[in-house]
Amino acid sequence: MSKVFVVTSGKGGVGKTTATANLGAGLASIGKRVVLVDADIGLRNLDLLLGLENRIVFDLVDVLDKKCRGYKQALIRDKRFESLFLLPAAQSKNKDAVKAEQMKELMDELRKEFDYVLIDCPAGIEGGFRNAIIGADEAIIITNPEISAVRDADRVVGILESENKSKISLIVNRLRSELVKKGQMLSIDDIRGILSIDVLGVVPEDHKILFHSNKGEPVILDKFSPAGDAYRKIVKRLHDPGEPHEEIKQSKNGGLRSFLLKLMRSTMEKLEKGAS
Amino acid sequence: MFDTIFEFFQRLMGKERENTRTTARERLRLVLIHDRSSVSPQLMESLRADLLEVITRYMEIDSGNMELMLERHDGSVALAASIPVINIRRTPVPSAEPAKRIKESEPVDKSDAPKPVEAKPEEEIKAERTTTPPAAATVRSRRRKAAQSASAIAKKRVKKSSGKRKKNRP
Ligand SMILES: Nc1ncnc2c1ncn2[C@@H]1O[C@H](COP(=O)(O)OP(=O)(O)OP(=O)(O)O)[C@@H](O)[C@H]1O
Ligand SMILES: [Mg+2]
Repeated sequence: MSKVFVVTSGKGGVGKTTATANLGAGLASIGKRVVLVDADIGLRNLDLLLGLENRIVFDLVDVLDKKCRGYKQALIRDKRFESLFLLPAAQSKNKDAVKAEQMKELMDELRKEFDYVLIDCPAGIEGGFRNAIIGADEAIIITNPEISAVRDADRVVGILESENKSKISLIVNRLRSELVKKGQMLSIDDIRGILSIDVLGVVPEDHKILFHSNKGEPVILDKFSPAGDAYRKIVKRLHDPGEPHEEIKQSKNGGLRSFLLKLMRSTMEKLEKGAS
Repeated sequence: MFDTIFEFFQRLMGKERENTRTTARERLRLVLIHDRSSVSPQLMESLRADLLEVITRYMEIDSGNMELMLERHDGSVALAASIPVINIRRTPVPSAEPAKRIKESEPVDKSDAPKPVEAKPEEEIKAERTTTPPAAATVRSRRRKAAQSASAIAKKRVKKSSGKRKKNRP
């Protein structure tokens, strides 16, 4: 049975587009037919993260305005996965070019053809956001362990509820477990407690995200990236909700480095004790 | 100058570990109480209706002049209700709805004072906000829960738990 997800956050820059690209690639890698819809009209970005920016001919607004023959003409096939497609956002048009009803119709058309439709939502809670959520069955909220991002997430949850979209899950992105341990960053439990929604996954802060976005490759393909690892787990869980959770124990950042860090920390603590 | 040096040493010794995580959590909790109530007036409306229903079983009140609001204090939010009482019944009128509702509102009937009752300790509020309901029911239950717990009491106080809050307030 196919599913339409909207990836949304309220606050900008928390990682929606990165999440959409990676979940799409992950689902395609296990053989699912996936289409990614870039609903961030005027701020097209998903194409860049997938390295498909040079192949765009038609876009979402062309499809909705019937400037091309159906959505199929606007779809771009991914370089790596046969079954992954992108429907790019319009870059030149303004976002009022889209009507909610048209979006809903298009999503219903897409769901006939694909196992998963993932909509990359623009930041904010205005028109663009409304258009992005209207055709979705479920929402994936992305947030950062930071008060403003969590507050905005709460607002978005409230709006989704009032639109009767009650299937909502959460991805906490850019977690730094060392800061949580030091009592300097909100933990997953803190955030889960405050928002009271299901946690789908936790993605650690990872410099490899930048490395891969520079190249236009989803980080989920990198076997050695902690963020990639987190996305792989989320994909499993999306595909099979029974998949066990091991989130709360955060990415162990490998051997020597963490050993040295621990050593340093304990030395400091000793020094500190000695001083007081 | 000395401040900077001092700070540097503090940092070196790891003493700068002020727990900003709890500060963040507390600030969020408080601000969301407000966000949710102001963003969703229906929630306050349904709370008012529920309260009215329960209270009129115990006393006759002037519902037209009933006031219900969230009051912001320094580092805390309180649900304050001002409900003019006209008369108190000798025995409560049995509820039309059976079981659950009545049980939930029991704390109220213990008090015979006509004034707003100070009730439920903060732990209770916290617990309600921290329990994660099962996946599917998540959303709607969040609102209903809020309304139910509030209907049981006239006044709730959320104590501040971090001294840092004061500074952050405008
Ligand atoms: N786990 C992570 N670790 C490190 N950097 C990250 C992580 N996730 C995202 N980023 C970085 O955060 C920035 C914003 O990411 P992204 O564009 O996906 O956010 P967005 O929510 O789509 O933004 P917008 O609201 O503008 O559409 C990017 O520079 C990205 O590389
Ligand atoms: Mg984006």
